[in-house]
This record gives sequence, structure tokens and C-alpha cells, in this order.
Amino acid sequence: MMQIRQLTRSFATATTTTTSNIPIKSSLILSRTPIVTQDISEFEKLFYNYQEELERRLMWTFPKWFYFKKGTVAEREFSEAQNYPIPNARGVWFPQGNPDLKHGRDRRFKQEVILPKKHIESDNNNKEEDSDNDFDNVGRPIRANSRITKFDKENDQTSLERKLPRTLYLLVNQNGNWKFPSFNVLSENENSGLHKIAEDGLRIIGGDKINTWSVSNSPAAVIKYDSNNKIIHNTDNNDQLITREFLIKSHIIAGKFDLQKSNNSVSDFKWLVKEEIKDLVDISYYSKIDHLLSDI
Amino acid sequence: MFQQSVRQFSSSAVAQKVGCAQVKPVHHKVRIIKKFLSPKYPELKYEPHDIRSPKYKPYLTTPDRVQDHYFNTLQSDLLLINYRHGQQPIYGNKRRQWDMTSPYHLNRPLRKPKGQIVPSPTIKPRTYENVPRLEGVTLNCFVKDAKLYPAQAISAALQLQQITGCKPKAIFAKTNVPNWKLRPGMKMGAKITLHGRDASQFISTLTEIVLPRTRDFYGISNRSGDRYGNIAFGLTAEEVKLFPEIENNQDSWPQNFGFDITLHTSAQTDADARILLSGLGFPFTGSERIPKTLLNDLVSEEEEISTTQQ
Repeated sequence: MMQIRQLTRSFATATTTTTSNIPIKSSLILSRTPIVTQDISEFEKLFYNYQEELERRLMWTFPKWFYFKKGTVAEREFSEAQNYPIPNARGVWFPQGNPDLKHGRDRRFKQEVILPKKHIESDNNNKEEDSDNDFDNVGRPIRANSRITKFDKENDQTSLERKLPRTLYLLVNQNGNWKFPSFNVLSENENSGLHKIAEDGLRIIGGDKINTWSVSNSPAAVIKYDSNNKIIHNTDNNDQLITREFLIKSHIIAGKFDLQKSNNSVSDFKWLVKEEIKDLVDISYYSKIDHLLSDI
Repeated sequence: MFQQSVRQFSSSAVAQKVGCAQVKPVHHKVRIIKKFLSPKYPELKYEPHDIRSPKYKPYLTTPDRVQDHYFNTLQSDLLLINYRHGQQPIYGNKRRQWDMTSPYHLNRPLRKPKGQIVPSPTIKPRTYENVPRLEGVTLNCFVKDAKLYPAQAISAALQLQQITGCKPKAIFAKTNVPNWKLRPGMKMGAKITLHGRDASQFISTLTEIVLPRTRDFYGISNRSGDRYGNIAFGLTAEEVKLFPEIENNQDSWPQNFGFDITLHTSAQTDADARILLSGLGFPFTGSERIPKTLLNDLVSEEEEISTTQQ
């Protein structure tokens, strides 16, 4: 216990150096946060739909008179777009109950407000594609991009534009093992901080055309290796030759990871989600990083 | 155990005393809610979150992407950012004991804290249990002209309702200022406190549509805050026009009203609250002043060495 405390303190305060013979590594959990909203299950979809319809059933009637002044073109267009329910009439039998109309709304059912279509959208179909590509036209229709990109279809795991609703993590094939990129803390830069070493190391293996943000200079976790480079699970091991690997969290903001040919230790890299990491990395390594990874 | 009071000669009167009258009608000490006694409107007895209650309002109508972002990314990051090794609680200024020099100190309420009236909270070490989160957003719209033109208070309430989609409450003047012709009880505007999805919807509109387009907005001032994790700033009438709900229906809004926004967080200090809010997309500007007392929360080196050697 004494050993560990001294170790961490010397890095935090950068005063004493007792670490020269204790091997330390700094590892980087580089993640790309989700770009689009998360996927929801079929049950959630039905639940939200039910709640939304219920809200429309219980809500106040849409105040048409407030948004559309009487006698204007906008009011006429709006009125034409609505599907008005059948009004109640005396002496008529309605098999599904008598309509209960107020301000053109049947209060027994959910309220549906239909917005009139804009003139641009009602153009002919042949013109539609032209107006999409006409970038000078400010009034061109807004169309959402697909949530599934071409890299998803190709299953290109080196691309950052895959699995948009999920968190991607950078894994590298370092000395034959798939793991987070990890870097030795050398005696000349041992006072510069673990997060600094990890970020500098990332630039060496991945080029400097990457913009990252280190979450904190405190490590998120530590993994201990024995002299045979095997992960130690029990913490009471007092072996002097334990290698400690500190995991630093970071997010990629811009740019991309571009594997440098000059570096021999790293042969390959992948951007993966949690389940894919589980399939790829060693079981003992995954058990140490499992709780650090986002499920979404 | 029953103890006889010094000032009473008889002990039996106290011992036999009942909490409420025994003779009908019994005046209960516990307040009775009449709707629970009457069989007339059984649906009024349900809780408002019960779907059978007439007060029921469905609110889980869409997924909440601000909350998703918080739980997936922000929460674990905040824990790492705020965590410092060897943090210790900073004890707040609490109410003091009387020194018992006078017999009247017995059973007297505690003495005021030193140098202040309200006790200040203890700042606890940051753990996984107290990661800051956004608790709510209050919009407060006080219209100065409402004392001359009372209709403007109604119009301000309508504007808040248009922006947030929730029903605001009217606010009234509390003080009498004869020079300003202000008297207590005048309706002066509206306020609303948003929670959950409404708050998420409001802050995403604010950070993604309104604030990026406001002129000369460089960020919320770093000097803002109430010391205990609530950050406030204001929007002028010009900036309010940029809300899409107002902007797309400008003809209906001949006049707009600026309002104050308070972001309530569960952070213990303003600095922690700012880290959370910048993660939610609010920019901050200006020099930050952290009180010296908040910086002395680490164990000193000598102390730490002595504890490790023991």
C-alpha cells in the first residue's frame, strides 16, 4: 500500500523521483462520442408513441385564431389542410359514439394539426433533385442524412463515421495485442504528467492531424502486469517488477487517427463499440476495462 | 419516563391529557383532506401521476437526448474532472451553541453562525454519489412597465408559455416604492420553473439556436452564481426574438420581454456547476474567482505521510 501511495504522489506533485526502476505506462481511452440520438427499441418506440398520442388527446385545442389571423391567405391554407371530423347531427346514429366537437376538433380522439405544405416542397418530382444540389438556394428543402452511413454498410472499422448513435473507442494492435494505445513513461519525461505522455504518444503513432480533449489528468483506472506481461487480478501482490498501466480518458474532437508507417510497435487500429471490443481483446484485459466503456 | 414539571403542582392533569378533543365534533390536529372523505369524486383520490387521475399529464412523449448525453458521456467525465486525491470536507459555517452562562440559554434556539445569518453548507469530497446534474431551469420575467400597463404582465406570461410549452405563474410586486409608483400586489410579470424533458428541450433550444445567433454574446459571466451551484444570466428582449417559437410568428409579437434564466444544478460549488453547464453547451467568459477556502480541501503532505506510515 505504501508503495502505491508514493507512486501516485510523485506524479501528482512532481517532486520526488523514486520511480526510476518501477515501470509505468500511460494508456489512452480515446473515444468518439455519439453523433446522433441513440437507437430505441421497438417497445420504447411503441411506448413513446402511446404517450405522445395520449398527450395529444389531453392537450388544449390548438388555438388557430392566435396563429392565423382571420381572412388571411395563411389562415385559408391552414384550414384547407386540416381533416375536419364529421359534426354531430340530430337523428343520426353514430356507431362509434356521438362526435364531441369544439373548435373543429373531436375531443374524444387525439388532436392532429397538419401544417400546409410549402410551395417549394410541392414542386414536381423531376425538379426535386435539382433543388437539393442547388446550394445557392437558401430555400432548398431540408433533408436529414441517413443514420446508417456507407462505412456501416462496408463495415469499415477504421472509419470514424460508423455507428453514429454509439460511442466508438480507438483500439490498436500494439506488439501483437489488441488494446488501448499505451506508452512507456520514460525517465526523461516522468514529470510531465500521465495525460501529457498519453496525448504525445498518440501523436507519434497517429500523426498530429487529430484534435483531442483530455478529460482529466487523473487516470480512470489502473491495470497491473507481472514480469511475464500478464494481468494481475489480486491487488495484494507486492512484486517489485509489477508494471502499472494508467488509463487516461480523452475524446476526439476533430481530425482523424492516421497510422504512421515509421512506428513499428503499432501495426493496425480500429474504432470499435463495446461489444466489438469484447470480441476482439483478451478476456482478462476486457474484464479490467469493461466498466469504463459506455453501453451506448 | 414521565417527569414532573417544576411549575406544576398536579402531575395527573398532564399525564391524562389527550392530544385532541374527545367530544364530537373531534377537532383533529392532523389536517383532513375532505376529498378523501367524500365518496362523491373517486377520481380525485388518485395521485396526479396515476393515469386515472384527471390531473394526469403524459410527459415521457419523446426520448430525451440531453439526458442521454449526460448519462452516456458527461456523468463519468465530471466524476473524473472533479475528483482529486485526498479531498476532505470543507465544513460550513454552522449555528453555534450558547455558552450556558445564563439559565435562559436552556432550550433557546441555536446562536447565529459567526459573521452570517444563514448557515453555509459543508462541501463534501467529490464521489460517484454527488456528481453534479441539472435539476431545473427557472425563467423569471419581471416587466417594469407592467405597473403602468398591467396587460404587459399577461403578455409576458404568454411569451414564456409560447417558448417553454408550460404554464407560467404570475409574479407580484412585494415592496412599496412610492418614487417608482410601485405598490405591493401589482402583477409584474411571470415566472416558470422547468424540470425534466421541458428543461432539456429549453436548454437545447437555447444553446443550439438562440445563443449562437445573439449579437455580442461571448458567454455567461464567470462571476455569475450564488456560491452553491446555481448559475444565472439574462436575455434581453432582442435576444428573445431569436427563439424559433417567436421568430416564426413575429406578427403576433409586437413587443417582446427579456427574462432572467437560472440554471439550478446539484453541484456544491459554482466552479463545479460551470463544468457541468459547459458540458451541456453553455459557453463561459471572463476571469473566474474561486474562494480561497474552497482550494484548501486537500490533505497536506505531512499529514498524508503520517497517515500512510501508521
